[in-house]
Amino acid sequence: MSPLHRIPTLPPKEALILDLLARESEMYGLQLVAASKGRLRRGTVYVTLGRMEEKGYVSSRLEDAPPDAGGLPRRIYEPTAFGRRVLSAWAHVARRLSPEFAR
Amino acid sequence: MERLIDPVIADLQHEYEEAIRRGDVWRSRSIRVAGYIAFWKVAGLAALSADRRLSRALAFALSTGTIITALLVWVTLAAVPPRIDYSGRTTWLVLYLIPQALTISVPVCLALGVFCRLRGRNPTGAARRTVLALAIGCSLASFANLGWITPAANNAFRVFLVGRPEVRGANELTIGELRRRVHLALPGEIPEALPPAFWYHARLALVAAPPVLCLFAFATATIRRGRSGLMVLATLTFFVGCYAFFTPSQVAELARWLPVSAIAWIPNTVVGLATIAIAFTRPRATEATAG
Repeated sequence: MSPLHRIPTLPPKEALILDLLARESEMYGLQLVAASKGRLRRGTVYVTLGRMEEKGYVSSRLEDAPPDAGGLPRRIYEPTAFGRRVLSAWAHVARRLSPEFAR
Repeated sequence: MERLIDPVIADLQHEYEEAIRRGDVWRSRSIRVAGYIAFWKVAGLAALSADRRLSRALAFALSTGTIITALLVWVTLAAVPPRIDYSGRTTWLVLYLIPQALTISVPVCLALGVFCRLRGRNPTGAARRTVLALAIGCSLASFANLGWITPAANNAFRVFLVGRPEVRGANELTIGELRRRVHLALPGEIPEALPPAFWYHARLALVAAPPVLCLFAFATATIRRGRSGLMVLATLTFFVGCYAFFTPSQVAELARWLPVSAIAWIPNTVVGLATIAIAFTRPRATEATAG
């Protein structure tokens, strides 16, 4: 397989999530939806986060809920070192190529 | 699922509790509705991404269903006499013809989906129950469509095309009106090539079509591969062809030898006989289990 096939891809939604997580360090699903100002939907954000976790871009843990809290604990997501590197590489490529597209 | 469904429920619970704590009743209600929608969307997307076979089957069935719907709409529009000029009104006419086309394309679409998903596999009990539930659901939807929606759409089609008609044809009567006409042996309001009994039984046959076609797809899918795809294609083409290309005058010709109620059930009978023949004569697949 050519090395090009092994380069990690970063679709726009995943880039947005990584960008938001990189700024806030950790967030839960609905926080991401609110912070994206309508660019992420609550019906799709969890599937995207699941896919990103499989790719190794984000990691997650269950929040430490207070003892009296009822219901399920929320899942908190944070970017991994690999995810941060992928975001930075893609941002670099985008900066290098954007003048070409802007012409 | 633990990583997809649980976060949805947890976030929904927390957001809902916060709204309740603030005393914002309307906000809490809207969160609940949005949460339910999000839950089902996530569940659907998760199922599709986990089961590539299901997503492929769904894509194939939906695209074929769209093509069949378009074909049936086109056949009806092509039958409009050339003296009637409907240019500039085509969009509305197409919309009025879609409910009628769906009564045929939906069972075919369902059968194709079942066949593609279960092909060459031994279905589990859950798969059997899902297919049965889908077939019954489609049958009920078809009953509502054929009983009330399609007659109204057909009537709107004719009004839009030729002005307000004083009388309605058999295809524009609700299922109750048609049933009364059959049981009281009343003649149609307009002279038609076929008696109301034919149209009444044709509607009942179409309501029964989803389970019949599903059973056929199920029986064909569970036999060993080979020509099963060809058999499904031929049978479904025959089924669609019966409704798309047989004109009332051709059916009237056939009515010389057969009762009209029996003619209306021919497509289902042929598919049913094919199912029986397949179920009792072919060896079963053993390669994998489908859930």
